[in-house]
Amino acid sequence: MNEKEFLLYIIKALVDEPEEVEINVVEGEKSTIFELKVASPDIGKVIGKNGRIAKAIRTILNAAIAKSGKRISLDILG
Amino acid sequence: MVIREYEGRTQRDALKKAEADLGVDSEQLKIEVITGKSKFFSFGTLVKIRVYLEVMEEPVSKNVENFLSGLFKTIGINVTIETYEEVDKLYVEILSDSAGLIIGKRGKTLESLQLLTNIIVNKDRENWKKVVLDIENYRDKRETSLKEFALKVADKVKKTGKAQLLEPMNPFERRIIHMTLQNDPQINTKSEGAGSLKKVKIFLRRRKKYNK
Repeated sequence: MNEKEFLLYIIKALVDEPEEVEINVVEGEKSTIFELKVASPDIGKVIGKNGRIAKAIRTILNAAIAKSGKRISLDILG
Repeated sequence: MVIREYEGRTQRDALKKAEADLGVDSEQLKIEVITGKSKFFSFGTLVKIRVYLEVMEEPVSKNVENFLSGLFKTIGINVTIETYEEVDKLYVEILSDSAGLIIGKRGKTLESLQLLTNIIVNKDRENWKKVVLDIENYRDKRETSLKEFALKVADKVKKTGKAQLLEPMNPFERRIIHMTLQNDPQINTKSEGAGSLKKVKIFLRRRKKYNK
């Protein structure tokens, strides 16, 4: 799936340990859930101050998936 | 700057180790001999050298181009990227058929992409370089429409006498509103709320200021 590659590309560029990044995609009827796992020292890097980075990731992921008309949900697992 | 130390039977020997380890030519290294400098035939003693390597950082423009073109490739969007560099800023113009998608509603996607690009390309840099993304002149157009909007709302405030609270805006957008109306003697502007997204309030200046 392209959106998974898209998300993976961004997350790997953000973190210090790209080989630890894991994304699990759960497809629903109306929404797609992306479950993201990163190395624990990298969690802050994908969330950011006040969730600024996580919010930005959600925004552009929504744009990337817009064509399909689905909604996305990005869960960051600690 | 990378500083390392190497040992060898001779200075040349130590230098060879440095070259192999750092993957550079000895001409790029500044060398300082620490021990074993002048001892001829001193069997068994090793020459120790310290080398200094000035690391050349890859230009930000290249990093930004690589990151963005790679990113759009994953979802099959074709983009052309042009950059213009200033001392502390890098202006990036994205050209694409999918401009609308990349800009997003009120520029939200473009703002998010700019934030992420800034963090990613500056991650390993010593000096932060601000990256400003633009697409199909969106920023110019947005600035023009915000100015027109500010003037329109100010007119309404003058006619009705009632204050108007605008939708939440980012600092750059708020700045445009404040700047547009700052020389209007009848109008005052103020940002309200917390965080980076604040609302601008446009209201009448109180008359007593003129009477003073």
